[in-house]
Amino acid sequence: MGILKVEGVTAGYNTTPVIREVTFSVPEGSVFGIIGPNGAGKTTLFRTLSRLMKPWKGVVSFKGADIAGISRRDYARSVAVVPQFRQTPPPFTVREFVSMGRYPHRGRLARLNKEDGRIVDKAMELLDVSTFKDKLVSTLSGGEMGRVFLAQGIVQQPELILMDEPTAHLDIGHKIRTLDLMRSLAKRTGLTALIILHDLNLAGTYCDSLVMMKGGGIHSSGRPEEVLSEGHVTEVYGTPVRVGTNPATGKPHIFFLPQSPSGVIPD
Amino acid sequence: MNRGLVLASLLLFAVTSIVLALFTGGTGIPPAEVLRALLFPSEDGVAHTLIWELRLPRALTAGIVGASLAVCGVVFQAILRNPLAEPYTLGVSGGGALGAVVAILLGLGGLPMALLCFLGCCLSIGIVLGAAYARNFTNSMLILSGVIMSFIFSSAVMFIFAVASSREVHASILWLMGSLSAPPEGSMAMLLTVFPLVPGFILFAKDLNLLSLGDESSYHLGLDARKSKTLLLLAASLVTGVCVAVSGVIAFIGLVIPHLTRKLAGADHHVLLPASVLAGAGFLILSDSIAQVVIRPLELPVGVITGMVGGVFFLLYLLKARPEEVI
Repeated sequence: MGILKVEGVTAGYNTTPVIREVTFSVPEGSVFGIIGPNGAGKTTLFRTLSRLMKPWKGVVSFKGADIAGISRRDYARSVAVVPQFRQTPPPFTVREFVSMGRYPHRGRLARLNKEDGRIVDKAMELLDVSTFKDKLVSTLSGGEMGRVFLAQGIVQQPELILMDEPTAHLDIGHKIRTLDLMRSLAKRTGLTALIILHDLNLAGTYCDSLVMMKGGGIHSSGRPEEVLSEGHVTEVYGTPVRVGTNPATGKPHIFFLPQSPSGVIPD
Repeated sequence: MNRGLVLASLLLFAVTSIVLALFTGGTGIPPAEVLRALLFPSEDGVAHTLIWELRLPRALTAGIVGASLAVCGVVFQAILRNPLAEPYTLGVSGGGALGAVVAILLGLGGLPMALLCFLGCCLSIGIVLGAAYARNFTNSMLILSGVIMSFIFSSAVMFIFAVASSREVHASILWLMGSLSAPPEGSMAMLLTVFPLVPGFILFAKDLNLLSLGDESSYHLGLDARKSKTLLLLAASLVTGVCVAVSGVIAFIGLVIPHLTRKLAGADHHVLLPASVLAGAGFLILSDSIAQVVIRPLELPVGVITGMVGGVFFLLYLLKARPEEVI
């Protein structure tokens, strides 16, 4: 059932562990959210799953195989990684840049064929970047660039896509469209998406399951209704909240309570 | 601009500069005689000898060196993701200069000098790649150890200057400026040995595209960045080393041509590499023709022309370009 399994993983930098004994399983075809405050270890976990860091202890397995033993190219064919912090690319056009997502599927010498072109055009349309496909990626705004990077990941036609804050610089319209797209890809093609999200309401609305991290470990996990309780959110984020229900979706909705409604910082 | 059009214009530029090179030189030959020598290659005569044994080989050497330096510049800029990267970034020029100056001091010339120079280049590449390899092969480690090796080598050259005779120093300085007027014997053979690597880089166009996105992105798209980087840097440095051994340290081509070509042809190495071959070849052939006639009957080192023309042109480009277009 679990396409990605994380078992007892400890990882960190130099000699300091950042995540400790993390265990969870991502069901195939689901949208799986990782939430948690700054410094909880989300990005370290993400780098471990995308194989930029090796676990000190424990195993990450993809479809039953330890990811450390999968060749780079095979991993790139099945798992797409869309990191949060990106180096601005050299002056490639949007289309050229998105097309590079097809490289793992084609040999070193093979030119991309018509089929590749069709996949690229489709992904650019889905992410609403076709209108500026001939512009240079380096000249785009943060939100436009974010969608272009996402399109490159979709073009890889992976079974699993790992995304670190994919909606960070997007306006609300594009946030909703991007997450809608992830949901519909999960439903239609069986794509599994593991997404780090900061926006708890989006996480609650779009994810089938959530893992809430705190201090390098898992605080709670399960369905959004279970994880996003008033007690959990208040404890993990250190700010009191109320949790209601979105009347349209029936999903949990979090209401934040300002600590100084009068605009005065309390003593 | 349309990519086919860019390649066609650059081809025209390269061919024109070769033709121009045949008609210019230190000795004035009337155009009619040049034509005659070209059309009837079996005839004898002064013009015939000058064209077939001096001007044509010289233009070809310039073309190969120019194309090589430009393509190596493209490779270095893609891998190091740094707008200042050029073929000499890993200290190749410093090592080569030390080798050449030692050769001049020992009274060596011709092929022995070229070989000693090439040995210096290899020494530098070996130290820089070795140091970077020990430190995870990061770009900053490559660039910094390259800069440091250049410093060490140029200090060694300065030391030799301090103790050498003024005649030797003059010869060394002329060599350091880069010139195509008297390539050592065996130059063509050396160039032709490594030149297949230059068009060969096109086989790595995808690797270069991925590497230019950064190590992590290329990793996520399935590339073994460290292996590709090592292989490509080694190949590009060897080609550069041979160019330095043949013609000295010709400035600026490896820095400027990749930038200008990227502006015209875009960042995709499938187009950028062949475009740089043509642009680099054309530019150096043209610069060499200018170097031969500006202060006739004397001749300028071609490095003076590439540095000046290239430098001014590049400054204008930088002032006009939007910063996000530069690399």
